[in-house]
Amino acid sequence: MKTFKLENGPKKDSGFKTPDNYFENFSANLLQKLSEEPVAKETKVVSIFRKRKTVLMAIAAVFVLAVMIPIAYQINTKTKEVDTVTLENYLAEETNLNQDELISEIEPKNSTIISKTKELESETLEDILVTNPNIENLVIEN
Amino acid sequence: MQVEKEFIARLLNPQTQDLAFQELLHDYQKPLYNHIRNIVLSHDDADDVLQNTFIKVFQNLKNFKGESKLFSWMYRIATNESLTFLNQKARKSGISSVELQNKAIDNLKADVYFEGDKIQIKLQKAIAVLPEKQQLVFKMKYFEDLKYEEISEILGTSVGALKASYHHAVKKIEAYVTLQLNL
Repeated sequence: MKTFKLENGPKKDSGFKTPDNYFENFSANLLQKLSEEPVAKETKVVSIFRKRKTVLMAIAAVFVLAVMIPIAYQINTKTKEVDTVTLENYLAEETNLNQDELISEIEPKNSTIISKTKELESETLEDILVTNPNIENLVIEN
Repeated sequence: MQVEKEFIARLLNPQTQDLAFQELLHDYQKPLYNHIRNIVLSHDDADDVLQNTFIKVFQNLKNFKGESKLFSWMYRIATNESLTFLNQKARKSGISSVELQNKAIDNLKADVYFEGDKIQIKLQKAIAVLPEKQQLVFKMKYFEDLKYEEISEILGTSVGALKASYHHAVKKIEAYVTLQLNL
């Protein structure tokens, strides 16, 4: 088995060669190139005012967005939900239905739900009757 | 150091600039060409990168603060230019930089400016497998005969870390070429 060792034998060179007179020609070409266009290769200078204008425009854009986003959000939520006060007022003023008609319109299924949810616990009812003796008189009268 | 300061002053003075830059070219074009060629492998690519390197050196001389040596500053520019060139070339071709390097090594066999034998081709293939930093350290130490202190100034890595990198690189290269020779 052959073993390769870098230190064994003469040092290997990279094997790279250059064309004849490459370095003489390279110097001449480069010096000519540099004398022809030294300014063209300079870094482009951007006016400080132009730079400032861009920064100001960016700040203005952020400010406009900061103001517009909450407003847009509010408009969006208002249009989707009708608040209860408006609904009550509308029903009270604009409809031809009276209270009895409204009750009759409610389906029996829904009315049981309402009665169930409105049901008072017996203990609570007792407390009310004990603390308000006038209620008893009113019940008897009716 | 004093000599270098005077030389930089001559490079920055418009009256002495042309002559000083010619001296700079004369002293550094060969070592920088070898450094670049070892990284990019093809002569044509090395020619392009060497030209870009000297243009960059010329343009940035006025910004050179003298914090590092002119030598290591120029080598740093050459290294960065070479690596950027390879990455751009790989991106344009839509392949990885390792694939690009392997392609360049295969092209060496037909390159009129390469006179290496089979072992030298195998050596290049073994180097291509190494991580980028180890490749640089190995090439600068083995082919360019730079001192560890000089490589340390160029790459900004401690001498101890460079010695370890070189040692690892040698072991991996020897193992790779040994395996190839016994196939």
